Amino acid sequence: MSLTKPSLAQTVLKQFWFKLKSLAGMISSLIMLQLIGLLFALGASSNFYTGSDGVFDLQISYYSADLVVVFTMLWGFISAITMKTKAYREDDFVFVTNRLSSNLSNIAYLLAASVIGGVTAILSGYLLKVVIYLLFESTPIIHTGLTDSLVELLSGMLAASLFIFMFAGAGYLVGTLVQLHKAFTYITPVAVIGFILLSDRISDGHLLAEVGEFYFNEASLWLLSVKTLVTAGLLLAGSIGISQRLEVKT
Amino acid sequence: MMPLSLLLIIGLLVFAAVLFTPKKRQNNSYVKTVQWAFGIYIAVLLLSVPVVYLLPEGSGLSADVENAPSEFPSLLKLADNGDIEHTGHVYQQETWEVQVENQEVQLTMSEVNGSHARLPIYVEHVSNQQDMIEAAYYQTPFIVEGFDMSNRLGSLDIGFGNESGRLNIYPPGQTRIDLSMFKQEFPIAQLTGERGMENVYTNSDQLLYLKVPEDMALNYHDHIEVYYHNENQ
Amino acid sequence: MNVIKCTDLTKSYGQQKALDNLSVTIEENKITGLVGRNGAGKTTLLKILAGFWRVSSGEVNVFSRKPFDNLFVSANTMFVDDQMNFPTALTLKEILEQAGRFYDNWDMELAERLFDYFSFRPGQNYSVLSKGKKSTFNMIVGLCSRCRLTIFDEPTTGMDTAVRKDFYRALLKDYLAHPRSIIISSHHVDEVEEVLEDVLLVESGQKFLHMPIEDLKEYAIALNGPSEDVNKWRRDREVLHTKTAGNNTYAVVTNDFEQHELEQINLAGIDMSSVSPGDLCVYLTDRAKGGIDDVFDKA
Repeated sequence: MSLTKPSLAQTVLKQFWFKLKSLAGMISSLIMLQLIGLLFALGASSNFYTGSDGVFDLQISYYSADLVVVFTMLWGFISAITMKTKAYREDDFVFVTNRLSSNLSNIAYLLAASVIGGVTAILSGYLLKVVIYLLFESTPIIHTGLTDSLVELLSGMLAASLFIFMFAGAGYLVGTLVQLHKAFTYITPVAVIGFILLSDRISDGHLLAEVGEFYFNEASLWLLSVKTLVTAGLLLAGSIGISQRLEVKT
Repeated sequence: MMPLSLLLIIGLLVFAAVLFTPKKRQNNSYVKTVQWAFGIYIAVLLLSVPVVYLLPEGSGLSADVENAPSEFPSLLKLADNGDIEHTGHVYQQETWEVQVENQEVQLTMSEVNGSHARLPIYVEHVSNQQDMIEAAYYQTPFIVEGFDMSNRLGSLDIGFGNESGRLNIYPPGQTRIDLSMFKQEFPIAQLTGERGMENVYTNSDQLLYLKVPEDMALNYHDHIEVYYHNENQ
Repeated sequence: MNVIKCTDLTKSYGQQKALDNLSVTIEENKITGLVGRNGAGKTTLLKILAGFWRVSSGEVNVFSRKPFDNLFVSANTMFVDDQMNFPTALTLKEILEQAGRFYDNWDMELAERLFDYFSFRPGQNYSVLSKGKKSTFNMIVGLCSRCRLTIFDEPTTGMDTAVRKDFYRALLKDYLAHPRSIIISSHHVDEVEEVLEDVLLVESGQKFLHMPIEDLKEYAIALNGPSEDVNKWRRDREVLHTKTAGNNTYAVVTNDFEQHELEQINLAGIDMSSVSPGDLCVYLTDRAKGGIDDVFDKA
């Protein structure tokens, strides 16, 4: 039989299609989490206003699919960690792979999954509107909170996907660290929480807010893309570097 | 509180979801089941987009966000400037004309929700009116999140007792307005800048303008706010 | 052409050495049996060859390349053991399909025929299979991939006798039709010896011997007879194993007798028999002084 001469690009591609099937469980959990998020989103956040002269007593209930987006970001984070657990990461080594192609195909999958997650999360806002309209006693003002144009909607989906991908990158690094040494399973959450608390105290509570604003107050889609992709890229590159020398099937 | 039917539906959905979660132990392709479920999910999501746009906007509301000014003139200022009948004419809700023979009129205002209403009364003594009181009720629009809700507010009524020489004012009761609205999800709002919570509503101004004969005297309790035109209080 | 070449290969875990300066060369297109005691270093060697583990020192070349994290080696090497954890989301049929996409030489027809022969159902999930069934499925994947280097590490775990027989036959048939380099590590040496061409015996992380199986079969001879007669022929020879019962001694010695000596032994009334490779390997690597009987006898 002739020797096979594999190319990295082809292997990554084959693995990507392979993972679309073998990681079907992640899509299943995405749907679950989003439906649960929708369920929670049925409870609105309310604001109360009382008019001067006692003329009116105004209560406005606001609904949005924010919770679904947050849940999807959580899903991205956890899914990426799961990908690096023993059960999943060794799937590649049954077939043709090296560590680089395994990581690259994982990243390609996470990218695709993040886009799917972002699109469905934003779309779920429409489903939420329909459900609330049909099921609730007080009919909502249905045509509020809509985007003005298709471009706005697509931009929102892109932004959501980028956030999810960034969280996935963080999860991937965490998963890789745990693969490096089991101790990281508890070191990582302790270190992260400790770092947050400490920096919060030092900076008088500003650090966390500033980090949040860095990403979540960015109004330019272009800048936001750069910020999130660079962050995700650093996290993922670190993961690749760490896992290059790790043994499998131990 | 959500209706019972909604809770039932939610319960059924959760039950169905748990039951029909694709399990790997069946002798069917788990992958295909997930692909199916995902296809249905996407279809439902995509379908809900046109449905939202096609749903009728009930409750007779119209949003005129572009043209709605966020600020309306202070009725009190207008009254002071003598401008109220001209500029303020747009805000005039109702007018009354009452024949009065007494020289002294007692103003009373009924309570709203157990406390005294703070409806300002503006009085102008005019010379050309004999035995007649002209009353006009002004109210600036009540705009909530770009929707004109003025018609939901109550209206004022006036009753006059000729024999007793009383002018009874019945201010509008407190209206309870419940609204449900949608907000843009934060990734979208971040880019379009829609999220600010400024100017949720414009406060509605009310004013009762009385034109009384020159020599008429008005009596009223302290809790009634009365302003006089061109006179130092 | 050598498919595998190890030079002073060492793998250590702290102070322990799983492989200790192991040097071996394996030619291509041969079936080599990797034999040894538990903990001798067989699996360690195989996992390094497959590119899963790193070496601590020394050199190893598979297809003239370092196997660790090497795409070329991965594409041309198939590693079959009882830890082949196929993705739980896929059915057996889907696993075969994926294997076909990764391996250029994959024979789907053969895979399907073997699949049916061993009564698998396409929609089954790998995780619900019994141990024997898993091993059988692993074997199907291992064979049909037709990788130039195919490594089997204890491939018959859990298989019943009939299936094991089928496995060896299938292995042999496909190997003859499509030659490749095969390494089989197994405890059941006697079973597997039918298909072996070479034997590599490993002990304490070192190469003990590496020779064709024919040579191994003739390596030693067993003498069985009255003690004093047997002992006469024991002298100056390496005795690999003895067992004395009353007046009778059973001794295994290296077979370097001349023809006339063999005739003499025969005339002396001593039984001569060949030593199976399995037994021979046990005797050769006997670590303890004496055997298991001594444990009980000394008590």
